[in-house]
Amino acid sequence: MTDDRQPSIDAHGEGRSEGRATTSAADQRELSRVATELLPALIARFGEGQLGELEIRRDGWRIRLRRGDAGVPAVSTEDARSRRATSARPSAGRGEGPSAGERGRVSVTSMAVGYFQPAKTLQVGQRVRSGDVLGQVDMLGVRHDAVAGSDAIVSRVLAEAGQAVEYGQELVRLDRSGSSSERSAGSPDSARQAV
Amino acid sequence: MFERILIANRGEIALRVLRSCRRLGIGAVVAYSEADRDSRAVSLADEAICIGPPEARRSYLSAASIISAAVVTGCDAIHPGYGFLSEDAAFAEMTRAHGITLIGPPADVLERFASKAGTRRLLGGHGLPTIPGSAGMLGDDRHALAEAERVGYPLLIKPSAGGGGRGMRLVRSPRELEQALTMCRSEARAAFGDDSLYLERWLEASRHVEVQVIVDRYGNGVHVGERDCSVQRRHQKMVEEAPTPALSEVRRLELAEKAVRAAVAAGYENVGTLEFLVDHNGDFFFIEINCRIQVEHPVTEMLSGIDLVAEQIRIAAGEPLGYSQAEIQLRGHAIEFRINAEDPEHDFRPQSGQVSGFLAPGGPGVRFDSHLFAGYEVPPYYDSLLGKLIVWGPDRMAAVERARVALDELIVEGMRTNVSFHQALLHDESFLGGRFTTNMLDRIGSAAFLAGSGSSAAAPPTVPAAEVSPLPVVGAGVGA
Repeated sequence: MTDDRQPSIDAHGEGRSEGRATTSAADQRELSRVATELLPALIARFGEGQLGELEIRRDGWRIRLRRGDAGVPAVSTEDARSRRATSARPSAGRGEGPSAGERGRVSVTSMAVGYFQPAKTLQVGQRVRSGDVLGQVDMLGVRHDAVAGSDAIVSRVLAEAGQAVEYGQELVRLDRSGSSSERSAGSPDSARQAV
Repeated sequence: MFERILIANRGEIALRVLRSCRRLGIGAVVAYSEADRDSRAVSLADEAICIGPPEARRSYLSAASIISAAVVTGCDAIHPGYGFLSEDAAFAEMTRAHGITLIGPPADVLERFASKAGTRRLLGGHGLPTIPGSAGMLGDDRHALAEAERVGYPLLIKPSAGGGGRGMRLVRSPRELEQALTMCRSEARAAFGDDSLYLERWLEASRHVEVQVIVDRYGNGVHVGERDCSVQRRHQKMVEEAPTPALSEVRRLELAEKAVRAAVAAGYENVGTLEFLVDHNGDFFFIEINCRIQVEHPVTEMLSGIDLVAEQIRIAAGEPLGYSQAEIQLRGHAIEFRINAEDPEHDFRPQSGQVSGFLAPGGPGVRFDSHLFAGYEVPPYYDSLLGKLIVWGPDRMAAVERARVALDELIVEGMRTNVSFHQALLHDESFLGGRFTTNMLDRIGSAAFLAGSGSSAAAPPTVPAAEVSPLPVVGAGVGA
């Protein structure tokens, strides 16, 4: 690892205190602790390996390290992969989270190819807890759950009941900032990764 | 005929299948992994559907994802291409259970040809010569010596549970056999938990020759000649050509006719390839059948004018063959060069990254099957095939000359390719003389081969064709 490989750092609160618009004093204390205790160790570990990106969840915080451009190894597919993940198509291929758009917005994506069936109770404005099943994708009779990765509010339901969906397709958008559902006005294509 | 076909593959073969679908007026849906989102096949397809992450196990090898993709996109058939699930009998059966046709042999036919040993017995019973070997497993040393005497030296000792060359030895005399048996038994026991061994005749300096057949479900079958795939590196084919320079026209015809007769008699169906080893006497021995379209199929297409992928589709749809052997005319000579993202100077290490510039060669008798474009990202997850250059000429030398011109024209910028290897090959006396054998490259070493060529036409490397090999790595009978 050379000195110019400065990782970029992105820390997100997991939205434990719903409805907050700004960082509370408690959060700031926690953030400061994370920054002084956890981050240096993480950066050191990151520097030793070949990873392009690393995400860690701890104490309600999500910390993502990404190698800076100057330090990106000559394998340009890594560039491409990160570009794809942030491209216009929202299907980043993960169940939740990393395809987050603006702060607090996360997608729940399909982990299977099949027909989507939303949970009976699923509706815009609904509060969900991390681990809640928001719907299922039926792949040849086997149901694959679409699970909320964090406590949040449903801001948009992007697939209808019975709709054919592909792997990685955005099914439900969640708003973790807790402000409300009006953020849902943005089209799926406006999703951009924050880091 | 099918309405819509799901193409469950990637790279050049996805594009190749797409082209035949278009020609036949069939809708084409491309199933792709996240790593192939920006691929040419995806952009050209009528519809494309993401089936999983880059990891093949969860995308191109996921039977459930592929079949579900076919169901939700309204496809009535799946074309598996080559590799991945193309010869998986369980996948074929699962596809059928969902009312979808897998383009290739039906599940029960795949099942019948699933075991290599079983297939050799089956086709051996229909008149195909197989590599002589011991009758079953070896008993004690005395039994082994008697069997060896019957089969004839040199011999390969092979473990029944074999793989990877472990427990395998080449022996040339009874003395060597006695010495090797104990070692082979203990190696096989350690590696596979099973020390049963058998003997197979070792073919010195053999060539890989395969016969292309097309058989419909009504028992009509034709052969479309043979291909010679003797230029191999570690059992991976690099160059294929037709007709084979190893056999006379009479022997070639005999081989092809025997192959198609046996395939029809054994109930084979669809497009298939029967692989043979040809020894220095020109005797051929059946080794295995490939129940799929092969990478090197364009060689045969260039000679015959037959679209083999279209034939696969037609036959899977239940159409009769519709022509006879007499109507198939094979003209001239064709050679295919696999253009791989590999660095010949560093042991052919696979490359990935962005292709910054790309220009395909052209001209009379030149075909370039490739999914490349400038700006394409070669993903690191799959094989390193970037494309295939296929040249045709009225005779072998004309094809060689066209190949030299075409390889010089080809531009792939941004990563290393094996083009320099092909250029060296086209000045190698063994290749030019039609004497290449399957283990020649590994015996002299690819690095030595390249160094010997000096990358220049003025200093061609010379390889004595009759040179005797040391121990085989994996042994005879391994095709790529």
